[in-house]
Amino acid sequence: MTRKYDVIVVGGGHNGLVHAAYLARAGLDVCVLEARPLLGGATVTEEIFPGFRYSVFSYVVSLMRPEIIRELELPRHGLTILPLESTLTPLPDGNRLYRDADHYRSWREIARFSVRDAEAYDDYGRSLFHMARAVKYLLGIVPPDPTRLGPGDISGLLGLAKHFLGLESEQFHMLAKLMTMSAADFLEEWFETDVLKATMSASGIIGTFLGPRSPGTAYVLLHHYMGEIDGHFRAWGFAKGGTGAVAEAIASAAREAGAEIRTDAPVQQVLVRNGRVTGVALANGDELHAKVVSSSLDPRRTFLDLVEERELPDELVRGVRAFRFRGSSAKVNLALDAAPDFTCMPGFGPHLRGAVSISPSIDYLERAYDDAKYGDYSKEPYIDIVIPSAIDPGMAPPGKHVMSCFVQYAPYELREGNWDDRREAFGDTVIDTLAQYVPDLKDIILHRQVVTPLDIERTTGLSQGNIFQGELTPSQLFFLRPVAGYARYRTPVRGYYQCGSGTHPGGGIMGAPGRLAATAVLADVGRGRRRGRGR
Amino acid sequence: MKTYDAVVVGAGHNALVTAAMLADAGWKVVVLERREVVGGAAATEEIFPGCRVNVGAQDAGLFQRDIVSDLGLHAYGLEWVHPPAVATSLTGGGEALTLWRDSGRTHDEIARRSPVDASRFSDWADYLRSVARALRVVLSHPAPVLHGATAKERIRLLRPLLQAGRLGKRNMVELLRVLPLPARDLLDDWFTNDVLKGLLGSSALPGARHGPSAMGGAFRMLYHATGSEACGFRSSVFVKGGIGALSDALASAARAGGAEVRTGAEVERILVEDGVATGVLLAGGEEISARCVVSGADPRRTFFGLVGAPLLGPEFNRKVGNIQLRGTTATLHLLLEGLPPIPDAAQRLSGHTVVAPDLEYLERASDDAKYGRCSDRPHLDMVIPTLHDPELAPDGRHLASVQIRYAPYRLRSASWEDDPPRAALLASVLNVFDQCLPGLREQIVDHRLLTPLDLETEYGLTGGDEYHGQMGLDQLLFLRPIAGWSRYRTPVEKLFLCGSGTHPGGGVTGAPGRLAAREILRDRGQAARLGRQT
Repeated sequence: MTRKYDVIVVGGGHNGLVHAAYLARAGLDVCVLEARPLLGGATVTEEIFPGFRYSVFSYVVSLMRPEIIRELELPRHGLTILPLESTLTPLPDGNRLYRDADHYRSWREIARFSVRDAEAYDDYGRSLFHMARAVKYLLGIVPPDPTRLGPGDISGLLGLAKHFLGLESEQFHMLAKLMTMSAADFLEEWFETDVLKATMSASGIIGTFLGPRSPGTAYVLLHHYMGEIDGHFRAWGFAKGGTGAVAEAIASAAREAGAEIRTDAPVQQVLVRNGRVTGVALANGDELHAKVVSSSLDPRRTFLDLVEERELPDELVRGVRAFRFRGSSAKVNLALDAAPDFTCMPGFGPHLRGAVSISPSIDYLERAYDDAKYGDYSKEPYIDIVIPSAIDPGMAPPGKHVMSCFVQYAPYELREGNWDDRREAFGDTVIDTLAQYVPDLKDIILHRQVVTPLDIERTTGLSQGNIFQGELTPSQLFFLRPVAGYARYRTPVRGYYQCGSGTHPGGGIMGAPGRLAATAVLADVGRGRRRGRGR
Repeated sequence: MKTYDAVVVGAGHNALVTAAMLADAGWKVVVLERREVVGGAAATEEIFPGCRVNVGAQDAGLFQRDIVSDLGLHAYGLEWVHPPAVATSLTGGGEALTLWRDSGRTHDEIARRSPVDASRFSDWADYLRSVARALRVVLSHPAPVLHGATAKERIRLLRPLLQAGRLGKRNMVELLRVLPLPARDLLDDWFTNDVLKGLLGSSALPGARHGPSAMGGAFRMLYHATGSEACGFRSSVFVKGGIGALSDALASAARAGGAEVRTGAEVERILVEDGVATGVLLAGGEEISARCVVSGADPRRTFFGLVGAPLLGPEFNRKVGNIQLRGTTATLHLLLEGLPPIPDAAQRLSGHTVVAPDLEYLERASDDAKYGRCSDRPHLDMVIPTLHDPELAPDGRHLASVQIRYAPYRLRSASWEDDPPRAALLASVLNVFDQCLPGLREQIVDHRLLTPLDLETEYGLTGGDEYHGQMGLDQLLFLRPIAGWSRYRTPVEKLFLCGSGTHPGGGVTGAPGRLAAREILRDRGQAARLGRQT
């Protein structure tokens, strides 16, 4: 059977759904095809263990572009974001660093380690706020293409120059350093307390295969700082109902605009006839036809799996092959019989409604990275913990809790053995590490789910389990993402577009790639229509 | 008391280039060097009786050829030496992989280990040359400054851009992609053989504490390939009579232009009157006044040591304090009875002889530096100058200078002032040689170990950093030495920098000295014009 659409979107992750919603709202006849039975890709909530709802993969919301929340009216479609207000960093010796929205409490906490740092803390926050504002501009534009330098590209580059020259030189220089420094060196310029530097540098390594002392991590630090909820940078949030609720809200906005969304519909191949897409073939043999096909999958799948190599220029194929994924993160999701009791902050308190970060020192994180560098998972990993049920009771039965542990490093490629054999041993390592800070943890665990990079790849299709659809390194950003000359969401195959995190501005539950790609599609379709009228 | 147009602090190769160029322009110039020999770390000294040893820098392949012609250095006895071997990787038990100046020979050598890689190598060499050419354009112009630049300056900036543009958009964009890459990633895209990758990747290490998997390594590989005669990955060009002969030639050129070059003259302080540099005070108490002061010392030594922090703003001082000066290299000088017994040693060991069996070896060595330890299995880079210059050592003996990475300036649990770490480092170096170059130990007649601390105390290199500041992407171009002060000027009027701490950076290139001299002359020109106007 065949059915003709204006646009087929491959993949029902948050970017695919955002993309579809914008196109549907523009009046196009859109169909989203998701391989899994549920929507969201890596943005899902699943009840793996009866009564306990896990945000299986991604677990916090902060990068979601506010204009998308506004334009798609996501709150009306059920999106509620509850703020994560504090970060607790427990130390092995029972000491801790606790920072929260209360400015003075944070000041006192940091001052316990260093008054100088407590003083610097606000300046630091302000500077990064300005940096984030300066870079935010990039999140809203389609990157110009310096390899082509068409009129649009030149005006784009001039726009960039204008924007960055508009900054004060101090800010511009700091930005240049942020793009190139290591998170550790960058923080070194502000602070002297190791634990403070360590726990702050942690957001510079999330999702990367780099250590806090690796150049390039300062940018990732900023990338994670760009999170914006009600205009407050670095405000992390938790979606009521888990991150799956984000996907559900976007999907409902898309459906309302008339988009058709199919699950259990894995796409086998994108159909191309003499350099133009004609539709897609599903795994079950069905063919769906459309003038436009947008892939929200990562570049490797978009270019090397879905279409024939011969449809693409060599430089693109070479570029995509050189594009780096190297997944390095894993998740351990726990169902708990009671709230975890941290030695450094006993009892049930507001700290459980925030993030808990196992990042006691820079060396600790660096050693964790070293293990991964040589092909093994960290013996003492970095862990970022959130307890959704403490924020949203609906996530677990009364009195019980779910605990989401984001773990690094877990390299996709293990030098010894494979993830299927070592999954549980890895899980034990994580639990043992946590038990140093939560002595009774092992007694209250009812169920544990270990999600390795291999599992992430298998379930969501993310190559090598990279949560950003490709490393966020300067060689793979902006007009180099995914490949120089092909960063404007279009592809050499007419009618074929890319709209996933593998394109500018990259990963995280941000939605920006899907939205920007939609503008590219609409521009072209519009042009087509005009030409049509012209004839 | 006579007044000079310019007093140049230090007689390192960059300072000498600046002095010679200013003298050529008719300036009255005096160069003041604390030590008895000129050249700074690019000097050849008698550290073993009757021997002439290149104490610091060995290779002169990066030295800008147009400086040689502008100053006519060949007239002062400068003579290049091009050994047959570019680099040899010792892979253990006397086995080796050599990359020769002759590409055919290189091809055959690689082919024995990996035919695939051998077939790719010439493409790689071309690729590297083309990208290095694009980079060379950037490095031979003042760092692009966008902020606080006058329209006129911005137009000046377009020149290098246009030049670079001629290299093709693709090349420039490729440069943007490649510069931040880790050496490992770039090499993995090209080659399969571990030994080859280790050998090529080793040229990404000098100038930074980072290993092959750290961002910016590709830049350093290219930087070390910008020498006009770089054989597809790094230069292997030496100076007849030792690298000191280059510094001597520069000094002679400066003197010929009328400059005075005084050795044994230690500058204690740079004299500043209401924000303007007026001259220098020597250790002996002698004052020398000048219209401007040019410092070849590294930025932190210049500002904190010679000017004094109190005269500079707190924000500026914070930035100077934050410059990453991270010496990680020690040097072991050896006097050898003869060559180690490996097949055609005289040929194979004539270039750079390195211990870098694979990239992981280098990575692990750099891990040690990360935690403030010396590598117990260090990366070694040895040069035996006597192979192409027998006069350097008497009665047929040989000299070998071995650069050792990593030996961090700041040791966590020891001090370079004590013997144990020095002894430990020496031991681990010799152990590595026992495995890779058996029979070398037996040839050793005498040795001298220079630690990063020695580099600081003897050669005035802060933190033992021979590059005057880590060559990371965050300390390059308009960020070098300090964001906003990349144009050789300083907050002190009439005080200029001309050392490796300034753009384009370290190594024996002469480029910073040359660009600094130009900026200083332009500055004077503008001043003169202003004078006329008033």
